[in-house]
Amino acid sequence: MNFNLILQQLLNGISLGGVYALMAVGFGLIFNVLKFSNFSHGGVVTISAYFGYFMSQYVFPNFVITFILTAIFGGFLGVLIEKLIFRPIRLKGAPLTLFLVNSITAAMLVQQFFAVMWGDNYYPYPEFIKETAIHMGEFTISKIYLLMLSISAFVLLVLGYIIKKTKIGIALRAVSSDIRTPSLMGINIDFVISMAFFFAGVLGGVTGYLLGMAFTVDPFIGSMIIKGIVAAIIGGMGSLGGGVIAGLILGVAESLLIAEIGASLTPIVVYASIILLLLIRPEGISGKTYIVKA
Amino acid sequence: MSILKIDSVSKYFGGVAAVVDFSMIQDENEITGIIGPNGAGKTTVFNLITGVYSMDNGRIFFMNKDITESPAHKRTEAGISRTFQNIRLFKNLNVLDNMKVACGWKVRYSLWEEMIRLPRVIREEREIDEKARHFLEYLGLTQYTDQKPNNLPYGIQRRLELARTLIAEPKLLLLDEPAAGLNPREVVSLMGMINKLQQDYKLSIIIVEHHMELIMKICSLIHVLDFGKKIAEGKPEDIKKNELVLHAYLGDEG
Repeated sequence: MNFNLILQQLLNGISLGGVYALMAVGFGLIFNVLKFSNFSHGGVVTISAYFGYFMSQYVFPNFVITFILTAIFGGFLGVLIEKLIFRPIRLKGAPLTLFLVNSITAAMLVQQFFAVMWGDNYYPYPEFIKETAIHMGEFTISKIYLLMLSISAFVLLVLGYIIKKTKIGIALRAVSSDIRTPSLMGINIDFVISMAFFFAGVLGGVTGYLLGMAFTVDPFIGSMIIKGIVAAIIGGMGSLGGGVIAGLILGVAESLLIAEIGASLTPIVVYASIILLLLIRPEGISGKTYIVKA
Repeated sequence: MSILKIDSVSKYFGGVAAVVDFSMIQDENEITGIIGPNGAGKTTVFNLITGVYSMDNGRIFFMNKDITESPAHKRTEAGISRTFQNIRLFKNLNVLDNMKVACGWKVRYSLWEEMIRLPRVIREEREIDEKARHFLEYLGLTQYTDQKPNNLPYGIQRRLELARTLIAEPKLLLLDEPAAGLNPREVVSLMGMINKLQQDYKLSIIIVEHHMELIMKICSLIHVLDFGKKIAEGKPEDIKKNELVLHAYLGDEG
């Protein structure tokens, strides 16, 4: 591999990793609060990808408007999913395994629904950016990848600020460490959980839009969530920052490996190394210990 | 004027009667004690007042409003705050954020305003910050602002819990064994502190405590529980002489 290629793959990898980071954080937010693996996040990504496609193709052919609409749509979708399938079982005090089962079922339902309705075709987003690459000598940077990177960074920074500084963010962190006591501080737990799903949903909406824009929309786009979940686990469950770093590493590793050993061997090497990594360091890179839940 | 009225409340866990037919009236600006042997149901009474448990029988009125069916966070909003027997601070938040958790949930801005950061939201966040720092200073905790609560001495953690209850601007404060784990010198300073904040903030306070000296010194009225039933009620000097109470604490030969 020559130096330029490495540099270019590095940039591509970071852009891709940014999207993995979005997924890892969207997944981690819910894990922190309710302590279960929320596979339905993949469903939010899929539905948002289709929503973004239809909005930009048929309603507003404008990037900024459709992007913001999709992000907000994802947020409310998250809230709706929580209200429909998680809140009822939470109020009945169901075991965490049931949350896990519900979330996987919801993800499958969405996948199959879209496969039946729109699975016969690939849907490309409209070309918002006419010239898709910037050339600098031998160096080619895809504009979409640059856009992906800057949007992911921006969204994660805003979320980081909200979680760190604002009242709702502090409440979220408090509920993450103890889901009962904050109600005695005047915090409405149901509201905080709704907010967690809203924020996770916004991330899911952004992820769906970016993935749809970078690739094409198909019913299985939501299964990319597995990369995000892997990133969250390598990052150390419960640590959102760790998930971001792990997402970036995963993206870079994939891109470099694709250039070196090809696209078909890459997943094998990546997943094998993840198992190896977790054998050596089961608590993930952030090193936080956590209690294993569903 | 009464601020809290508990009207023959009962709570059963399975077949076990934790609290049976318990009634009490808490007057405004008074400090009341609830004592009793271990397992007498004192903390259960607190859990019923704050809405952690739902009650099986009876009603609770706070400032003449029936709060029997209100969820826990509504009761806190209405003005009931508490501390815990086993300290419950949030380990993953620093001292300042632990304070902020408990504050300002009465005035709630909507999601949209939060998203677009209207000036009102920014002002409110700043007010919360000032308020949190003010109460930390009031209880002499300023030097610990950025630390994680787990690294602090036990007595400081208890004081932080107390500061956290104040930030919600309560009218009724429930202290669950505030002296547990404190050394004699800290207990004396705790008594001073409770008296001071009662006067400074015009609070009504109910204390559950095993520390008899503290209870006898600062409470104007004492309720005694045994096996979930109230066996006596009165001024400290009467309780000291009450035969039923002596019997409950010391057994037959007492």
